[in-house]
Amino acid sequence: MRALLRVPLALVAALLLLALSAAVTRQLAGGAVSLALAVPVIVWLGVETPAIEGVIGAALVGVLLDAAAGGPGGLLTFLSVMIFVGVRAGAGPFDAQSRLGFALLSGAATFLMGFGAILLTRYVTSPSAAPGWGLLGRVLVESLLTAAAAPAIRWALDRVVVPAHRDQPGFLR
Amino acid sequence: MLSLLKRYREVIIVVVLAVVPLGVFLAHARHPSDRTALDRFVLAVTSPVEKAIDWTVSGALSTWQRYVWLRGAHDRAVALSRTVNDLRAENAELSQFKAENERLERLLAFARSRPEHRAVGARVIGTRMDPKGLQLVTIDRGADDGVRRMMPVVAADGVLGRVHTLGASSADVLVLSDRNSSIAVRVERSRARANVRGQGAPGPCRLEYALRSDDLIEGDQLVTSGTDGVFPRGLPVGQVTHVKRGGFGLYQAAEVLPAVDVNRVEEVAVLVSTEVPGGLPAARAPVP
Repeated sequence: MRALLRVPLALVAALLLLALSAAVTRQLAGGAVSLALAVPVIVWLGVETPAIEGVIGAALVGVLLDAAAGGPGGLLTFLSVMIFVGVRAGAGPFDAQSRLGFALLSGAATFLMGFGAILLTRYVTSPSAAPGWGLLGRVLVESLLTAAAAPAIRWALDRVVVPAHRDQPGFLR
Repeated sequence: MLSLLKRYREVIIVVVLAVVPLGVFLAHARHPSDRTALDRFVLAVTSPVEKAIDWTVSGALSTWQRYVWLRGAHDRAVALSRTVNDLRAENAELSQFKAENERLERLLAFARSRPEHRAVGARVIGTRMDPKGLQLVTIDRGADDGVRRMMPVVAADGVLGRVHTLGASSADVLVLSDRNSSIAVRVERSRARANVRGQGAPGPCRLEYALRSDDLIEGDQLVTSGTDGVFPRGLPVGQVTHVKRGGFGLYQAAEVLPAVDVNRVEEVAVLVSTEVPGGLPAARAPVP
């Protein structure tokens, strides 16, 4: 039964983590640095769930991210799916079951999501309104902080949402 | 065809889930719209959680900073205490300036209300209220400033006394509470005449020579009558208290509460244009 609720529970966890990110960001130097605590949920879905279930979950988490970010719709949904695919494809070299591996994957995913968002937004918006590359430093700090928090998120997800323990690593298997 | 779809089911779903949002993004990115119902839903769900977390984190941090992490608190408290003391001293000084300014304004208004008299402002620099001697107040103006003997001295509330002895840059003022001071007054209400004489100590004076038949009640205001050759008419002197009308005699007695508290007066004005008429006898020499 809980396996059926895996994606809904992951979504609830993502919602709570979004709220936690916003609250903690306010406490951390008044917003000078930020956290993307919902990204490890996408990584967890990529590591622990079957392909179709996981990609749907990742897309839905992306929808939540889009809604919370208040930016143009679809950007973070697309990037979430890409992150999911990337985790499926690139988790091989990492021991994603370990804390360090999961933290590295989460950090890399957060950085790529931030980088992709800046790149795509720069591509579609006018140069005067486009985000500058100077934001990458902030994205890097966000990635490091998210990576530091990722093992705790994984620990919580493993206990609240039942992992499927994917046996075969690799793209969409 | 169906088997092809079945075979590549995962890939197709992934591509659809990636391409559709990308298309939505590319279509709407140049024309950002208002928040959708989903945006509002996410906000509505996350806001209470944010508030709860924020309250918890803020409370924990506040507790930590207030009750646990008190390093340097003592030094800060000492520094703040010093600052508070400095500010209190500054505040007291400013309050004194304010009170002085108010007194000077009242004195100035008093002087301006009598344009017929030219006044010289002076500051009280000493008092001698020895019960065995004269009741004197020393002011910082003297002969060099145009002050002369017998000139009336007033404060903002009324008559203080008259110039008794002169120096070049200071003068002693015989205040109205001295035994040797006698000021001709008139009851402002009934215009009855009398004299106000000091009793040798700061405080109430005595009302003399008020005819028994005169209309005099407690609370009557007394002003100078201008008949003693020293004080111009109309200056406030004091208020009648404790009227005593005996069973016989020509006069009735009363106490007078001076309008000016000689113990507290700080700024005065000497009415330099009021001179003793040549025909009048000089005031009696005070007897200590």
